[in-house]
Amino acid sequence: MIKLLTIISVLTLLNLSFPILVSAQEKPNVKQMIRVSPVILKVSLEPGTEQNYKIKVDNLLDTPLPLKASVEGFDASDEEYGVTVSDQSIASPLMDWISLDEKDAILPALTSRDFNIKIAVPSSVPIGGYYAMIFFTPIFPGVPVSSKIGVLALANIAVAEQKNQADIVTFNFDKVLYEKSPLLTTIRVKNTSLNYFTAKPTLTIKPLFGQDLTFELEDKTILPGKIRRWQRAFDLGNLYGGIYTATLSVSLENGDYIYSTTHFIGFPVKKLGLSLLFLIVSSYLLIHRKRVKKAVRLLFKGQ
Amino acid sequence: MRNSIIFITIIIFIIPFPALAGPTSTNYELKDYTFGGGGTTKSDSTNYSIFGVAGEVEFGKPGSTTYKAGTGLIYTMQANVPGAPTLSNPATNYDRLKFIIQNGGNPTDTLFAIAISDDNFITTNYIQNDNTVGTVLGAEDWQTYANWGGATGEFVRTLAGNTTYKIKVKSKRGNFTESQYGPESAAITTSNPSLTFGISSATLTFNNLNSGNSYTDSTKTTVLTTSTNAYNGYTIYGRNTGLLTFGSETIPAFASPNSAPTVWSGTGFGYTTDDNNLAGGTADRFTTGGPKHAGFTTSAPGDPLADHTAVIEDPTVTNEQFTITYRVSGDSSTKAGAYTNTVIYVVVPVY
Repeated sequence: MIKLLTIISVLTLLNLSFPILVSAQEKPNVKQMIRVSPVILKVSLEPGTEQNYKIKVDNLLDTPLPLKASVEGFDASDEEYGVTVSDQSIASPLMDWISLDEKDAILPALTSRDFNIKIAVPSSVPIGGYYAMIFFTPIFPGVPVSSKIGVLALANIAVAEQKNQADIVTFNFDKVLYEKSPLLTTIRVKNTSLNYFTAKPTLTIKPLFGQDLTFELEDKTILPGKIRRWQRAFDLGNLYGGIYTATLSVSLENGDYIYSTTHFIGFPVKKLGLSLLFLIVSSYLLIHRKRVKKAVRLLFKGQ
Repeated sequence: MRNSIIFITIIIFIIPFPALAGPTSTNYELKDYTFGGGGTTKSDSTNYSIFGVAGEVEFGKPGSTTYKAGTGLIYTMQANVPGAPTLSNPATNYDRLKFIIQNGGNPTDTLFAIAISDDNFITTNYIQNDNTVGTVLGAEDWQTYANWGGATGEFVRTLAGNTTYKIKVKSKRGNFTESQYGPESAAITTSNPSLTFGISSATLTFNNLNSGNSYTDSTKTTVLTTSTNAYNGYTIYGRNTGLLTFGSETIPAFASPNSAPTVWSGTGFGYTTDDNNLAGGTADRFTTGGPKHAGFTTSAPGDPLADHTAVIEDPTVTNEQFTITYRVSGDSSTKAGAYTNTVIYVVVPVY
């Protein structure tokens, strides 16, 4: 029975040397390898046109960097940050419209190169959102750990004065009754228009008494037909007793908003318990004030 | 005459340049006063109204290259012209710039509108009330100094990358009080969004596995280093090209998936990450009660192993590092040999 297991990997390419492996507790000042810019290419396309863009790639190593460029299909895979990529078109044909002037290149040490991206849009295409991912992959044959870096291309084919439209699918809190903060809020917004856009929620919480509180959440891009989710815990400090009204406004760009309102109840048990006790004692004293007065007089004057 | 109404208009004074400080009481100041020659003070149609007085100049704007002087009734009613706003790019932002407007000594209920241009105001757009850029200045886009962020300012977003912008501000406080635009801000250029990535090593060689180390090595790591100004951050996915393979022999992937990692037990090849705020499931699923491990997937782009999904607005993220620690465990029945495969890390921006 053979009882020895060996796993061997090899690193030999162009005399490239990397820092020595270290333990997780001691993170090295790692020299970075590659930089791409822009990393999100937001473009507006027109049918029947050919549009050109550049992506700058920097080799940050002090050795030459062999590089492969490729275009892949892209789509969102969940409501948060998940993505699907494939060497086939997925949700849109943008991948098929993109061509690169160079698919293989060697970047000399510490240099940059512009990769020219040509997008040829067919003359008859539906309006809507189109997406693809352009990858740059350092090529080190035989190495067991490799990396690639993606540039996201988001394109819209739109008509003038087109309005973005969306629905607030979910706007709620994790409880109806809160004794104290934090309040966990879930917001889900669906893009019901044909183009992608960025949505930015703002939450205003108004107590029955006291001042309004406003919270701005981050803006996120929503692809057509997709839902994006925001989940956030808000600390309102000490809650007042009573009904709170929460109003959500979601900016859809160009000053357009959609709104939704919900409610929750603040019920700080200790605070309300003390108030209730005070109320009971006060009521008792008020109702039996003659008897109480008599008792106090008896206590202090003895008559 | 009792039953008749007589309008008598006498121009006693003609004041070519109105007084800038008039009679005052505790609460009010008469900004301007005159005796008109009749005419109409306010005539309305559905869409327009006229506001004027006969007998003196209504509005004038004598000026030199550097200065302007206003004349007439309307000038004295106008809100103060706001000073030059500040426009800046604090974190090499590519789709947003930070602006701070000046209130110009106006009262707190004064409304301000902000014009923005990327061609020196040959084309003028307006910052909308949601801080995006639009072509139309609507009534709702006039906001108070406080609503525009006060002295802290706010970000105008949906800008184009690598483009130079200027803004200018005007103010008003009710009808007939709209000021001219104040001076323009400095021209500020948005950056290009960039993403920088590096791995600590392209090599990964485990110790020989034998009974002396219980057929286990969990000391090897890869440090992932990322810098970016992408607003929504980035995600690093990891996958491998297949099972660790030697000829026809394989070492299986650790059975637990990325969405539900577990404390190591048994044999296999897997990893753990020190990112305690990871998307794709419970945020600290690898670190709390851990380290917990998962096996690599072979599906592109892979499973999330590290990310930065908090907003990157100010400042930018520089050299953020996460460590992936590998673990391989065999047993006495595992055939000896050099087992290999390739781990691929894919970094993409969060959109």
